[in-house]
Amino acid sequence: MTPIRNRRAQETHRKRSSRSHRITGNLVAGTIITGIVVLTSIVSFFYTPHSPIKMDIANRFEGPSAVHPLGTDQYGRDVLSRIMLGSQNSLLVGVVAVSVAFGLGTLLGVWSGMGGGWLDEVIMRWMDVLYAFPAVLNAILFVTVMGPGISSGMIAIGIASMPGFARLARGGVLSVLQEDYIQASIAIGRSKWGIAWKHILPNIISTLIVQATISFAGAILAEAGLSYLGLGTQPPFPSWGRMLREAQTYMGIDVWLAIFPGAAIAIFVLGLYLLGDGVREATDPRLIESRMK
Amino acid sequence: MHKFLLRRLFMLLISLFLISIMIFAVMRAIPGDPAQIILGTDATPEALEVLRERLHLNGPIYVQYAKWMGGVLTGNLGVSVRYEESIGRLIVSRLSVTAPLAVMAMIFAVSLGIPAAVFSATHRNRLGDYTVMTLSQIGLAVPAFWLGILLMLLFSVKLRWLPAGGFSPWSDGALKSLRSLLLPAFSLGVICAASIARLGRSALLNVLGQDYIRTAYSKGVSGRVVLYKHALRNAFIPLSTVIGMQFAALLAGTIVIESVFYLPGLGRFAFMAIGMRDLPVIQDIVLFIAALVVMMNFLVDVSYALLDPRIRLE
Repeated sequence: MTPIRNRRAQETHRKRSSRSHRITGNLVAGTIITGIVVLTSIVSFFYTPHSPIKMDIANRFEGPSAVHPLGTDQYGRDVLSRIMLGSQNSLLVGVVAVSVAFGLGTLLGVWSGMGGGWLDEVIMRWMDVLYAFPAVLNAILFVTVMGPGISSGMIAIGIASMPGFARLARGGVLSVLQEDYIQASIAIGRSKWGIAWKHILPNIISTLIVQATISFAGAILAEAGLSYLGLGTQPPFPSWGRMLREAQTYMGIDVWLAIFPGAAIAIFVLGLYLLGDGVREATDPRLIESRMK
Repeated sequence: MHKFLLRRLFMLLISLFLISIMIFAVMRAIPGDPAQIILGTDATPEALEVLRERLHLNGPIYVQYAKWMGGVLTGNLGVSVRYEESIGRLIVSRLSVTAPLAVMAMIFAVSLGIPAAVFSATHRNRLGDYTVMTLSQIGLAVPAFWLGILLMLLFSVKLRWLPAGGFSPWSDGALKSLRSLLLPAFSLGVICAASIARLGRSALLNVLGQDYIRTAYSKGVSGRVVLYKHALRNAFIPLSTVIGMQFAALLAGTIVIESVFYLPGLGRFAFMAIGMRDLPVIQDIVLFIAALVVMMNFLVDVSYALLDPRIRLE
């Protein structure tokens, strides 16, 4: 290869690799919003502007002010402090539910795809069955058995999100298994789980991460719904869904109470969706290819 | 087609059977005596024994399952412990609220989502497209029940145009009933419209980029005819799957919105049954809703195959 052609090839390669993990607006916006919520949650462990639990009846239903930027609720508790503390709850549910779904779903999906035959059939039929139980319906079953509380909600949401991961992982396994280098690894006698760990998981991990952010958003919405029903987090620990339920009773007196907790849910979920879109745009080869054209 | 239909029908029956097994197993995992849980600690041993007998709790586990399933298959779902009424009749009466709610929500979703998708796709990468896509992204992030509370705040508390909650029975006039369903249906519909708009846009763009569309344009067919007669029809095939699956999710997902608006629907019935520890009702409602979801998905699969013959061949 002549020096000029060589240089051109290097430039093209450099251009491709700089574009192959492109930072998009969605990725930036999603990371900032999600980062702020996570940071707020961490800060709330050791600092909130006021006590989120202590009542101050004399100052109840105060609108937004310099002292209470988001106002106070029916017991005079600072809404901002309660929203900050409530973020811990949303994060916890999201992390646990998505970890359960990600871990078990991926494991079952990979197992199903690698095993094939009757094993594949049995696992995927169970995933179809789980698919028939949306998170809230699943939670009704779990709450009946375990009683109301954050644990029932987390498990129910986690199990309801599992089929999505299993289907993606299985699909990924089936497509990667066709590749020549995988067939070569099988031919030289590598163990199936070794191949799955070393070759297949790295190939499907970006798809699973996108699914994880979408499931995380779904978990936040489902938990808010459960808490609204009184089946999730129990008082006095604040949760965004429960705050909305309480606000509904007093919305004729104080409109702000019904606005801020809902806005917190919507902003966090929006941030997660943007983050998911951003990760997909940065890692999906088809999207990168279409951008390069 | 027959072979495809039979295979799908077989899978549907298998799924329904597995769903019933799962619900039965979870309900039997409740720690303690179900009869004691239902009647509480004050119940007399005689009352407990009568209830155990009524709920077939005395026999072996497979006999209990067989008796429950036998009842379900013959349309006899048993009697609610709290309401002392047939569970089947209770479900049907609650469905008279939930089904119209889901249908109304879907009407809102389709009538908002599809025009938004068409507008967005035909104004690709222009201000209108960005606006619709931003609004739909926000729509996906907003919890339906929060939107319901905000709408209630505006239209019921401030403007006093619509009822703040409750349901006017159909016997008092259909118009009144529909008015009480308007806000909850709109709240659910707007959220569904957001995903229809996004998926519809990408389906339409996909179709608009195909050769036969270019051919139609080159033959001098007007843009309107190409869009509505050629493109939208084909884009509607993947979209019908989404709409069908959303309808199934709506039937199962009205629990929270029914509580926000105090609607005596199926979801609220299930929620109340938890508080009243009415275990037979919970078991039957969860089975009913899960079966509805699976059957809706089956119908979506079949209609997809009818609309797109390639599916049957695969």
